Amino acid sequence: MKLERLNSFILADTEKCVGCRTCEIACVLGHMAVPPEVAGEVNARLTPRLFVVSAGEVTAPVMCRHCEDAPCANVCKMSAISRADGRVLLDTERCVGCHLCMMACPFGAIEFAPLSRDAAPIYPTAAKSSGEKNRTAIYRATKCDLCNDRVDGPACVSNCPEKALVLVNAAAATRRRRNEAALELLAEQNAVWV
Amino acid sequence: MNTDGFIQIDQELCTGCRHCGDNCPVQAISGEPKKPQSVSADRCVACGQCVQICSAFDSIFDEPWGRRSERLHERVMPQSVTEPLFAAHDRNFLPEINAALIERNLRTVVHCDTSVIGPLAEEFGLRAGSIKPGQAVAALRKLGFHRVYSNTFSVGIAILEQAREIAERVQKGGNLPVINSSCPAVVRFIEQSFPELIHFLSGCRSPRQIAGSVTKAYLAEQLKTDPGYLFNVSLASCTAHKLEATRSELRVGEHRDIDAVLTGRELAWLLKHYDIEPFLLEESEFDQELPPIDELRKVFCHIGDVAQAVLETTGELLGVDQAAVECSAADGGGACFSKVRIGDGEYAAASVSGLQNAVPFLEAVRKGESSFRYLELMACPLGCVSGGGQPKVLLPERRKPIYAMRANSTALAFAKPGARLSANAAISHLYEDFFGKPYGDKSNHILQTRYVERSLEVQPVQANSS
Repeated sequence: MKLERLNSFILADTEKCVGCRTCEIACVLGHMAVPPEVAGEVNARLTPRLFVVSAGEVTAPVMCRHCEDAPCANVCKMSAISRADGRVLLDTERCVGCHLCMMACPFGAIEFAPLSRDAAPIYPTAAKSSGEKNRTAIYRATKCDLCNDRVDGPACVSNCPEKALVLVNAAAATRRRRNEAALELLAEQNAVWV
Repeated sequence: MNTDGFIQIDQELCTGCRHCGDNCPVQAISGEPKKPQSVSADRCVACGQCVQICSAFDSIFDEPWGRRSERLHERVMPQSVTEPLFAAHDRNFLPEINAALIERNLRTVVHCDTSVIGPLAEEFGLRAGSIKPGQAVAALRKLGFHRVYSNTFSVGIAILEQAREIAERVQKGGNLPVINSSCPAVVRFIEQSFPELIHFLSGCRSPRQIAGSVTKAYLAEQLKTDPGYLFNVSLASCTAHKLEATRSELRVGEHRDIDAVLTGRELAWLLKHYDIEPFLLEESEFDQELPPIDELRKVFCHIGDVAQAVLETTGELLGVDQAAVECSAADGGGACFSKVRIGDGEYAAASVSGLQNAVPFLEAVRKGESSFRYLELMACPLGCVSGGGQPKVLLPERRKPIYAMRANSTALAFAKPGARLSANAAISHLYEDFFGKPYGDKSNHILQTRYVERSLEVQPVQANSS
């Protein structure tokens, strides 16, 4: 991704979003080295990093806005969240699941998902769990990473059937709008004054 | 058993995106946008495309702890299933099948669609076609089925019957074109939206139903078993078949042709539940009492193959051996065309996939303007490989490539010259020794069926012409 002054984020057009959840599915598959093609291949619950919300008349996915002064990054004691490469990245390896980032995020864009490797959940080591039958997988924080490993860019954006999602860089968009406005203004002023 | 609503929409999971409703060819799904939708069982033809399209899955972030287990229970699915559960889903026959497999007095028979076996591999993370048919047979035997048959035998019978019908209707000035009756969703669609055309439908049962009726009548005698002790399971790519199997006229005496339908997806659940890995098994042959016809393995997998086989067979019956059938490639509107020259006449057929795409062809028949002798109509986008009960492709952009891979894996593997059905020894034996003669009372009772006018008031949805 071309380096911009500000972080990028994904914007959902609420006029276009129908709430189908394809973006969620695409997100999960986009983060797998060998994604499943069919539902039957999926071995664990799908845990996307964006969350479709249905609020009365409006549906839209909510995801990390890659804040410039990210509260989650500020609060994380394990230094698992950092600003790098034009986005806010959460390193699951360093996360201990303290929930602080989840509470700090004003958008509710951080969720906790069971840790998994090769689509199988990872459980705490036997000594620390309460026995075979009651074991639950380790949950750790997860959030949108703008698909930093994906060649085609964010998976949700390319897979949305309604084309409701777009990758936005506010600085670039603002600069463009500013230039267009300036040209229009110039033309109008000339028309009035000259 | 409860026969309404084989296709259902989970009111808790449905987000009201309307992708199902917008694609439903009979406008059977209604509801306000962004509110849960529901399926009208009266209108639904159970083609299952909504089940394939639905992307509203059970997110762990939205449900109370333990809800998954409850939902699996509500849907009568094994607790071992790990795949996501979507709002639009089809009801299954798993309790009946499991009970039958356990019941010591019953002889369980499974009749297999070719179109299921290739794509089954996808459920195990492999390319379509990676599991050999013989391995699928072995897996079914491990599940406990007493007999495993290939549906290619009944496909052969259906093709022969339909070819006879074309020949007879041409000779006697009957209703032409003959419309293929193998797709239960198409049959239901015609009954509902073109009821005046039910007399154009082939009177022949669908191959899956023939497999059932022939088993309960002919095979029961061969195996010296009372048909009441036979339990027929149809391993199908099709959700509409679930509705079809429960039609009251599809019985031999008081015994249903088909007692339960198992889709490819449901078979995968069972295999995984019992830790059976078909791709590791030694191959086993299909049972030979209803012997497979290898040349017919690709029929019903790819649109156009049924028409080709029917025209070839019509040629045989009218004295033209190995009639050369010319086929055109499928056009953008899901149709391809074939024709054969038999004597002085040219017999043309149209093969169309997608119910919306069938509408112009049916309109032409209604107006008396159809020039075809045979119509092969299939509800699903690329024929049975894309059926409602097939492995569900997760992302929209992957559907076409995966369906194409499925069709190609079967076509390439089994492309052989014509089957010469009129000379097939096993079919001839069935007709001569059991039925006595074709179109006689006995053969009609077991091979033929009738249709019901069920007109709806609203016109069917037509595909966009662009």
